[in-house]
Amino acid sequence: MLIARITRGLATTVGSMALIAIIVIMMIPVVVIVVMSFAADRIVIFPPRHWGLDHYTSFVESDYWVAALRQSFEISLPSAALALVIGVPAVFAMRNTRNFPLPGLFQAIGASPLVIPSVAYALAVYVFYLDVHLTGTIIGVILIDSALALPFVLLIVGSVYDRIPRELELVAMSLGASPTRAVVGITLRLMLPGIGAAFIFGFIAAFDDAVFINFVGGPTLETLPKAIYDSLQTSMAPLINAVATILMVGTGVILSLASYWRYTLSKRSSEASDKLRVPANG
Amino acid sequence: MRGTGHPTTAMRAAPENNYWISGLSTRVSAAFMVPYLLLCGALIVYPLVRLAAFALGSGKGFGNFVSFFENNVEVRSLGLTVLDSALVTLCVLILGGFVAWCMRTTSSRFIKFSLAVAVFVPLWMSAITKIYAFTVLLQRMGIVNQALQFIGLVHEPVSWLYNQPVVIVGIVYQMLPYGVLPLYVTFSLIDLDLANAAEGLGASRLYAMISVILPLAAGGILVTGVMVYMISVGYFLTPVLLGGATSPFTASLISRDVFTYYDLVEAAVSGVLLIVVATVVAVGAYLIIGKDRLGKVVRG
Amino acid sequence: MNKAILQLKGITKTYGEARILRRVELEVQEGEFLTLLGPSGSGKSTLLRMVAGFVLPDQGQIRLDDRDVSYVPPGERQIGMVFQNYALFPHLTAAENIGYGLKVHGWTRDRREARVREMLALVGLHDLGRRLPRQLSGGQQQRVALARALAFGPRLLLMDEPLGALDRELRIQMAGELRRLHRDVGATFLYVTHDRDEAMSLSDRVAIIRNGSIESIGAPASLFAQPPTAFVASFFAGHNVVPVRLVQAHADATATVNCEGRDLRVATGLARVSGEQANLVIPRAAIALSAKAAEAVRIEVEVLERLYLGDVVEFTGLAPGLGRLVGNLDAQSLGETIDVGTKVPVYLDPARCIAVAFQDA
Repeated sequence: MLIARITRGLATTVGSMALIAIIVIMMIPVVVIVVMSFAADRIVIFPPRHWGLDHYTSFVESDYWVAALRQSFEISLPSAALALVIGVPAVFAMRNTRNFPLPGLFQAIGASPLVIPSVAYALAVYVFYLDVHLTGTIIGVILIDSALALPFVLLIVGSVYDRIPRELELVAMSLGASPTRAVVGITLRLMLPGIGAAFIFGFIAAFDDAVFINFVGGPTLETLPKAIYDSLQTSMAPLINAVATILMVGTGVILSLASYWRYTLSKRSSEASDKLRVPANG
Repeated sequence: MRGTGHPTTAMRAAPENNYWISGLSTRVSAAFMVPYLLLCGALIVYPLVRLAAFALGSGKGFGNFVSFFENNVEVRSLGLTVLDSALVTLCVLILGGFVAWCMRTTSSRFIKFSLAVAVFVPLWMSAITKIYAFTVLLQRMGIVNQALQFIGLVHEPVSWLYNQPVVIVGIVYQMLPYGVLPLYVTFSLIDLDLANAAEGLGASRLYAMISVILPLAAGGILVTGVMVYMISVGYFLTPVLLGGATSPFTASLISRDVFTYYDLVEAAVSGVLLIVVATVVAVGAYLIIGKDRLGKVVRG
Repeated sequence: MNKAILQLKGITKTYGEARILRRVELEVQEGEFLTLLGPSGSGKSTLLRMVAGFVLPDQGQIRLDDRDVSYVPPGERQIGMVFQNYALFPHLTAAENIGYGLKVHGWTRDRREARVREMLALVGLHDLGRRLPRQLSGGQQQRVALARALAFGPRLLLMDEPLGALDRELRIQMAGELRRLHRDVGATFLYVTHDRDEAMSLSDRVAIIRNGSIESIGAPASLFAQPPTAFVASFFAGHNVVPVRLVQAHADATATVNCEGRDLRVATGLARVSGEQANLVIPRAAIALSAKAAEAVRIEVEVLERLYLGDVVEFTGLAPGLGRLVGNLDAQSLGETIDVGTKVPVYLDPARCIAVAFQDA
C-alpha cells in the first residue's frame, strides 16, 4: 500500500517534470526566434544586448524579401481559391448524387496528398512536369499547391456539410422555395464559415510549402519559404528572424480565425437543429 | 403523371424511392465532378503512376530495382529511413500520448491551456521556419553552443547538426502536434469513468489503464501511428537541411540524385520504394482495424 | 355543412418487404382538428408526410380541395407543416424564419413585416422576433415553427408530434395554445401523436391508426364511451379489456356474454360481435369496492399494485380467469387501506361495460 503510494507520488512528480520539459522544449524555438527578431546586435548573441526593430525595417526595405513575400501570395491565394472552386462542388456531388460509385474512394484520392510521402510525391510531380514543360512556371506551382490544399477543402467542407440537417432544405421547399434556392440559400449559407476555414487551411498549406517549390519551381520562382531554404544553404541573414516572426503571428491570427469559423460558427449554425433526426416510419 | 419538378434548374427535386429530395441530376453531378477528377487524375494519380513507370521503364528497367538493392549505400539509406521513421513514430506516440492523456484527464484549466499552447503554437511556424529555428539554435555559433560555453560545460562548440539523431529529434518536434491532436480526440471518446470503475473493483491504476483504457484507444493510436509514419517517411526538409546533404537518409539521397547528379532514374527508384513502404504500412493498418474506425478518427 | 378539405383514397405504401400503409381511406372536414393517433410504427408519420408531399404514395390518391395533389411538390400544396424538432433555420432570426415563406412567394417588405408582426402576436412572442433559434427555449421555438407554418395562411396545417420534445408542464400549456390557435385561425389542423391524452384533449375527431390502416374514427367522447374495437378501448380509452365467451348477439345493439360463470347482457355500442368469443370492455369507472347496482358482478382479485395519485388511487388487481384489472378508486372513501398481496372483492357494473368483437391483443 505504501509502496503504491510512493510510486504514485513519484510518477506524479516525474510526470509533472516531463510535462514541464515538453512544454519548455516545444516553446524554445518559438521564443528564441521571436526574441532574436527584436535584437539589434551586430552578431548573433543570446540573450541580445541591444534591442530594436532593425530586422523588421531591413525586411520591409529589402526588395528581395518583399518580392518573395509577394510571390508567395501570388501563388497561394489562387491555389487555395482553385482548391475551393474544385473541391466544394465535388463535395456536393459526392454526397448528393444517388448511386454515386464508391464515394469513399474518390474522397480518399483527393485527400491523399496529406499522407503521400512528400519527397516521393514532389519527385513524381517534377518528372511529370518535365514532360509537359511545366517546371519553373507559376501555373505549374499553383496547380500542385491546389492539390496540396484540396484535402483540407474535402475534409473541412465535408464535415461541415454533414452536420447540416437535410431536413432544412425540405422545410424550405415546403414553404415554397425552389430546390436550388433551398440548397443555395440555406445549406450553402450555413456552410460559409466552414468554407472560409477550408480556404485558410488550404492557403497556409500552399504558402508554407518548401518542398514542392524546390522540386518544381525552378530557379526563378522564389517564394518566402524557398528564400528561407536557400538562405539556410548559403548565408543566414538575421532579418529572417523578423520574417519568421511575422509569418508566425500572421499564421496564428488567421488560424485562430479559421478555428473560430470552423468550430464556433459552424457548430452554432447547426446547434438549433442538432436534435433533428430522420423520423421513424411510424 | 409524375411530379412537375423544375426542369430548368440544375438542382431539382426528384421523386427517388418516392421521396422529394433536392438531389443533383446526373448531368450536373458530372459537371461538378469533372474538374475534381481532372485535378486528382492529373496531379495525384498520374504523377505517381508515371514515377513507377519511369523507374521501371528507363535504364535497366526492373534491373534498376535490383541494382538498388545490390548497392549497399542505397539499401542502407532506405533501411535507415524506414527504421528511423519507426523510431520517430514511437517517440511521437509515447510523448504525444502522454501529453494528450494529461490534457484529457487534468482538471486544471491552466495545465490544459499551457499544454495546448505548447503543442499548437509551434504549428504556427511552417516547417521551414522550424528548421531555421533549429539551425539558429544548434549551429556552431548558435545559441545552444554559446550557452554551453558560457556556463562552462564545454570549451568548444559542439557539432549538433549534420548527424542522424538531430534529424530524428527534428522530425519528432515537427510531428508532435500532429500526434497529439488525433490522440486527444481518441482519448476524448473514452469515458474516464471506466478506469474509475475498474479501480473501484480492485484494479491498480496501472492495471486499469492497461486493461481498460488501452484497448479502447488502440484503434486511434494505431491510426495516428500510421499517419505519423507515412508522413515522416516522406520528410524532405529535415533530413536535407538538418542532416546535411550527405546524410544517409533516402530523402537526401533523392535530393543529391536530382539536384547534383541529375540521375532521375535513381531518384525515381528510391521514391517508388518509399511509396511502397508507406502503402504497405497503410494497407496493413486498414486490414487490422477496418474502414469504419479509420473514418472516425479521420473525421475528428 | 362542412365539406371535406382533404381526402385520402386507397393510400398504400410499401418499403421493401414492409407494408407501411394499407389502402388508407380518410376524409378530413374543413375547419376540424383531427388527430391521427397510433403507436410507433403504425404509419401515422408516413401518412402525414404524404399529405405534406415529402413522400409519394405507391397507390392511391390524395385530394386537396377536390384537386389531385398526389404528385405535386410540397411547396405547391399550400399546406403548412410543423415538425417535431421544429426545423427552424438556425441562421435566421425568429422573424426571418416566419417571413421565409412569404419572401419566397414575393411578398413586399412592408406586407411581410406586417404579417410577421401579426404572427408573432398570434403565438405570443411579441418582442422575440430578433432572436435566433438557439437563443429561444424549446417552447418558444415551437411557437416560431407554428407561426412560420401559418404565415402565408394555409388552409391545412400538419403537425407531426410537435409537443413530443417538451416537458410535461410545457406540453399542457402548449396544448391549450394549440386549441386557442385553432379557434382563432380557423384552419384545418391535422395532428399526429402517440399520446392519447393529447389526442383526447385537442381533437374534434380522432382517427386511430394501427398497422398501417385506420381502425376507427370518431369524436373523443364517443370513442371513449363506446369504443368500437378492443384496441380502441385499451389504447385510446385505457379501459380494461378481457376475453369472454359470447353467448348470443342481439338485434338491439346488445349481447349476452358469459363472464365469471354469469351471463351478462351488455351494450355493444358501435361494435359488432359474432362468433364464439368477444372482448368485454370494462371502463375503470365500472369497478368499485362495493356493489352499486343489483346486477353488479362480484369478483375476487388479488391486489397487485396500488398507486396513490392525489385524488384517486389507481388500483391493479389480478382476477383469475379475467386477467389484470385496473380501476380508479376515490382516495377519500377508501376506508381501510388495501395492501398489496391481499385478496379483495370488487364489483363490476355491467351497465357501464361494452362487448366488442374479439381481437388478439
